[in-house]
Amino acid sequence: MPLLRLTTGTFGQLRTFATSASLAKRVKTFAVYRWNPDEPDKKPYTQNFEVDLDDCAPMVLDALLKIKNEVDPTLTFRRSCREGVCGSCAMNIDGVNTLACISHIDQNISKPTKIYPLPHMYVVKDLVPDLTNFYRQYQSIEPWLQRENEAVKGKETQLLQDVEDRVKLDGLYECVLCACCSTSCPSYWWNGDKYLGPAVLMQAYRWIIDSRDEATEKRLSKLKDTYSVYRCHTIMNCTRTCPKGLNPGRAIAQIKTLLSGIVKKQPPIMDPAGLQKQTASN
Amino acid sequence: MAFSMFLRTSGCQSRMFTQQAMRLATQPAITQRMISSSLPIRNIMKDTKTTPILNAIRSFRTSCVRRSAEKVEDHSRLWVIERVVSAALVPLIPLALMMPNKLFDSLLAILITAHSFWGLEAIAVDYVRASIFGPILPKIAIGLVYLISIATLGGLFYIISHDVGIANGIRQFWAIRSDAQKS
Repeated sequence: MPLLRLTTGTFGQLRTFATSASLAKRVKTFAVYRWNPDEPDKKPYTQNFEVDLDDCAPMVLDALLKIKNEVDPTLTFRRSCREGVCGSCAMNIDGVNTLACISHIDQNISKPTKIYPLPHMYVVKDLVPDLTNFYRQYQSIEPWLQRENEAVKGKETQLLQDVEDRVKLDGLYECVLCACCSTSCPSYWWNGDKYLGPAVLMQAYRWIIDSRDEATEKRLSKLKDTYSVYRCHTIMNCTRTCPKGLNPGRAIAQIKTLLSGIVKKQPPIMDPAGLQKQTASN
Repeated sequence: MAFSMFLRTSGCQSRMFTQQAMRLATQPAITQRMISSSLPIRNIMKDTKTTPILNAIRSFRTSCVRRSAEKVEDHSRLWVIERVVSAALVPLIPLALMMPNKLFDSLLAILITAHSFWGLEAIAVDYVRASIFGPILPKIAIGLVYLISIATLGGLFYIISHDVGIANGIRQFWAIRSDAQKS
């Protein structure tokens, strides 16, 4: 660039494109929450990092990785797939719970981007929340297919499912358990120990309405108490914040209608054991 | 990996949970590294100052998921009744205001009191939590909700029996005119 400037005088018409505007970097400030468990008495604080956006890939996770690589290697956060399918990098960016890897950096240089861990969660370090309770609640809904007669090992046959029954699972199975929705729910903030939260409830619904699952009564009976489902007051922060565009609020509403007894789970269109019966009769 | 560790636990028990959580905090692997990491666990358990993570998990109070053997409270029927009452109030309030009579007034009193009771109860259950208010205050809060609801019902029935009634009372409220309007 400076070399070209030398030539402007000699050729006269050659305009320097190395103007001061493009030489100056587009510097964005990131205000990141920091806390170190090795210094537990030091209160959490916000550390400002400057990142040249012209030298950084477009997503917030890219900026965090650039900061970790070039400025402060102690910055700690979870990440894995960098494409929005694993749910590791869930954090609060400018007040919104999303995945950092699919969240574009706001190009407005005048305002800093605030990066905080998921709200109302115990912090392990910096941007890493303790999701132990979240996983325990997911385990409690028994997220696997349950049938009356388990197939004999070695003689399993495919369980049949009609296309319409499979469509019912669309919008439910794509959940990556990032915990963005549950940690955006005020009811989960106040009663997270007993209220299951939108993520877990949506998965509970995913198994309840699976046409191949036969433990519907048992699953619903585990949700009947005052806290597991009924702390939901349709605040709908969950649907608003889901980075995958899913609708946990609607799933919870469907659970409530099933629990009320007014709506019942429809029988499967295609008998799931159809193939098994066919092979048995052959 | 933490999740797979949980899948190995035999259901949720509060005692075991803290132990499991401790093991998770030190991130053992499922294979041979388990042995090498068991030593740090003992060291960490002695010296709590260097591992605040464990402090955070240890102080974590979560209510255990119920086993199917325990008696389960059924809130689903109450939930349906709450919604039915809310739905019933929508046509009933304008109807009762248009045609003031003792029957509608009594029905209104009961439904309004029930609706407010369930609303206040939800507020008390959601916000007055034992984890911040201790064991006694939440019970006092619920008791207050009961008290307020009974007083409301009593007051409304007093208005119906010894006064003009609810519908007439509300209509009279609207009949108040300011001195400037009266001319």
